[in-house]
Amino acid sequence: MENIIEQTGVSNRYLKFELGGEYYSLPLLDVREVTPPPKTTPLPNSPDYFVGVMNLRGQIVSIVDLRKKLRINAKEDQSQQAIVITEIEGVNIGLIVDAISSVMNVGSQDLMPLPEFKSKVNSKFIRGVFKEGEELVVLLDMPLVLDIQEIKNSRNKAS
Amino acid sequence: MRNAIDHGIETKEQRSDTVKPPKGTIKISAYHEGNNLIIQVKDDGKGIDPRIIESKAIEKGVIKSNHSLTEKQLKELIFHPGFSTKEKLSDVSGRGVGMDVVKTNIVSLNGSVNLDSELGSGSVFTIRLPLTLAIIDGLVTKIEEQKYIVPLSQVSEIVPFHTNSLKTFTNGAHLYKVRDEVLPLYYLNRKLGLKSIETTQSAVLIVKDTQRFAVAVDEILNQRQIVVKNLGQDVRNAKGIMGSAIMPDGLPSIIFDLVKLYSDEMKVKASA
Repeated sequence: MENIIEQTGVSNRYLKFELGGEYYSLPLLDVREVTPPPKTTPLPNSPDYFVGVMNLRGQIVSIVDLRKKLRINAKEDQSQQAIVITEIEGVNIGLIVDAISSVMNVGSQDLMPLPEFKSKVNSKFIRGVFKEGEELVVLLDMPLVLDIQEIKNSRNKAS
Repeated sequence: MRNAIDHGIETKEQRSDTVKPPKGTIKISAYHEGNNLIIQVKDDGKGIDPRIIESKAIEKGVIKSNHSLTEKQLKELIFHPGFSTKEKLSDVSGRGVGMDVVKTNIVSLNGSVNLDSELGSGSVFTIRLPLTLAIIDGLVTKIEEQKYIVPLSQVSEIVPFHTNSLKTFTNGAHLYKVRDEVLPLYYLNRKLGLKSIETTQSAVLIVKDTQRFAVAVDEILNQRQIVVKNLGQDVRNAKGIMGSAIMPDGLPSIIFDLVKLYSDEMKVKASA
């Protein structure tokens, strides 16, 4: 399995998307699928970034508004909004983004540490920055953004 | 079940040799435990003798005579395909295709079977199934255009909402009079963090618990059989939420465990 991933170079691919006019990315291997924004059911007493739950072909998936989670103002034009269904360490979460841009093919040597520049996002959520032409694309630390460890801990406590 | 009667319970003569009453007892219980459904079959028969299993298994070539299995492992051999220790095949429990088929079926549903057996005092089979497969009778209620489900088992009755039966205190607590009984009343929409327009309340559910209480909702829609689905792992432990169900319109709906949802309120009242 490791070998296949190496050979095909999938691990060097990243999904690039737009949040409030800036470009962000996450590893393509963490993405299960991309869907148009679904109808969701809100959950009571949940944080403001938690949009609700959706029915993904029979599976209940939680939807998180990535812009609210990262305190980014959403674009006014919502026509290109999409949901990225992620699967990180066995946890499925859907993320609302302003728009999907492309799939980037970059080597790990292209990942630069966070330079001195002002991002709208708390720097602890940033793993690095890709330079793509003139654009800077922020690589998000998704397990940290989504509190995956916290989720897994609470699950272990429950069982 | 049939296995318990046939293999577990001894004959009358065998029983009278021990201190047990001449009639055997088989107890079947089923209950929820967390996200699991537990079914337990318990008999007070002779239990499973690991020695008998051992000699049978060797005879049938399932294990070798120089095996190193523990007593517990030996007992679990009854789940092995094609294994039946009863000397005579009978028309009660059938042929020896029983336990391994049971186990395979349960495992394929992501469940488990556990065997506890004490020689001389009986056996307990515990079957554990994930609640995702559980179907409950649910009451579909509506609050501000959103549907919420309450398990019917928690509701003892539904009464219409009349403002003249309601008494509101200055601290915001409510009491509701049902016939000669006065019960604490909670508005479900407050719990949901919605702006409550209290005049829209039209029905009251009476929840059965050690303490009875009333819960007001906007509208009761219908009653239906509901397949309980787990929520995403990130919200599974939200208090008072039992799971969700996919409604005919394709949207998920939240299933509330009202007793858990209001357990804090009821505790405060009990200690006051």
